[in-house]
Amino acid sequence: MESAGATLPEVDGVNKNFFEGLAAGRLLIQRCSTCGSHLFYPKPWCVVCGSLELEWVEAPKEGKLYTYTIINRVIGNSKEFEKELPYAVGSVELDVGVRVYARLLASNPSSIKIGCRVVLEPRRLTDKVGLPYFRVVE
Amino acid sequence: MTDVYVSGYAVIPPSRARADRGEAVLTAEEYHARALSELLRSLGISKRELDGLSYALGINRTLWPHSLIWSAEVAQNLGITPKLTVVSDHGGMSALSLLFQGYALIKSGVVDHVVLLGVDSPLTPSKPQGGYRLERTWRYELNYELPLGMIGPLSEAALIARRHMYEHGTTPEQLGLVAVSQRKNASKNSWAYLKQPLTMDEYLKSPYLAYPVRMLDAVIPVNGGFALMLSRSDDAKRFTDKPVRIEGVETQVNSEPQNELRDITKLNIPSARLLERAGVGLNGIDFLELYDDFTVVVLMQLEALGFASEGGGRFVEKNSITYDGNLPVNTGGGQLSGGQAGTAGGFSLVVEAIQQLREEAGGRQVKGATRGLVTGLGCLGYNHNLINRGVALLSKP
Repeated sequence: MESAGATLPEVDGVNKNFFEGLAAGRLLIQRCSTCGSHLFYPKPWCVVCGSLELEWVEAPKEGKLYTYTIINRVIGNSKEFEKELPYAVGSVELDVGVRVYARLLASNPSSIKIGCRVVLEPRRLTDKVGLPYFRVVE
Repeated sequence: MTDVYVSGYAVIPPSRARADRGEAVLTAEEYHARALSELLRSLGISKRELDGLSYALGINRTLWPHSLIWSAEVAQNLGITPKLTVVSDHGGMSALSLLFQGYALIKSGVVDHVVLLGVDSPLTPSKPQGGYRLERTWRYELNYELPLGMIGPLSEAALIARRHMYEHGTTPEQLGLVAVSQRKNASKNSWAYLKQPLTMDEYLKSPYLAYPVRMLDAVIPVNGGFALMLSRSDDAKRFTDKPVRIEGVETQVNSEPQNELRDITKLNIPSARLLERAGVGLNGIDFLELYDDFTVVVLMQLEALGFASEGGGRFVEKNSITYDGNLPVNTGGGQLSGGQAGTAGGFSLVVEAIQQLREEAGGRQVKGATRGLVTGLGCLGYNHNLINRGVALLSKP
């Protein structure tokens, strides 16, 4: 297992497909079979119509940045992240109508701007767990 | 139906538990005892007399881990026998949630009085669990935030602040005005933790924790304790000649769940229905105590309440929000300067409103204040802002 250095998610029946999908390079999100709403983060039922019938669909690999932050200090998380400081985390808006928090990769940090295009580049931690990382299109 | 009054209150001054600076080092249990002792003193009654009242006890869940059955432990520690207990798990909205529950219990005639104890001691946890956090946090943070290296509320607030800058053109100086104005208010408040003057230059030099959130955009965590006594109208006069009337309280949990593309800079505070029911317009409010975990959240509330249609940032540029300004906000320094006593932090805003309305605010007294609005906000949601929203209207009878 690659050392995430870090903090692993608690994988369960609701979110398993999300983390496994990312480990395999795909961003899977829930879609309600009844009303068609896309949901994120993974939920136990459709928060729009209350249906229990949710299916997993692959999301587009490209999105745009809704907002972001540059983490300058590690507070309330594993000190292992200090090795990576500073780093960017943002909210990526996908055109299926959801936003996903993700680590942002950019060779030039000044290219991180609200509205910029980002492309999925998941980080694989284990066979079963990947994390949403996106690279800024420069 | 009876009206509901605040008939007494207590503040145990905040501490960072720095014994080397002569600060108090107390556990939550000790804060409960001291807050109740001070409350009884303010009411002019003994513990024995409290035992004879029909009352409920309300407490907040503290940040640090505590027992599953918590309110009975508190009652046992204090040796009291309330008719029923209510416990709030609403984070920053805990004070408003308990105020709402207490108000409803008295209105409905279940009890004559409600004792609220707002206490937290994040700097002297009983037993820290896990390596880097006191509490078990939300699953969405464990699963979808911490593995990315996010740093809890600071990074969640930073996502909101950055978008607020984009939507409203909010500048660092505008955020700084909130911090600087509140510090001026705190300088006149004996129980505020940070009282030394703050300049804009010092604010702008304060380091980023999670850009664009600087250290001085965030609350300073403290230990502290507060107590309130709520009473039926006829009983309140027994305890004080300066009762403060609770005109109403509203809360709401979560909003716009059906819209994943919601505007995270908009806070839908349920103030409109409260003001309408009380028959009060914005110009009938003399001061605001706005939940201030971060500077940007104060700006968002000025917008949400309807005071700042031009954007909160421009509003604080054109107006003065100090205790002697045209719209006094967080007249005791708020939590940004006063300190945030964990999940009891919101009590400091309620207590400040009570001191103003009892004309006990000394050098920071808002002249002629007869009505104040207090908010409580908690739970930074995923792809959202603070999803627990409470608002209360307090006035001179």
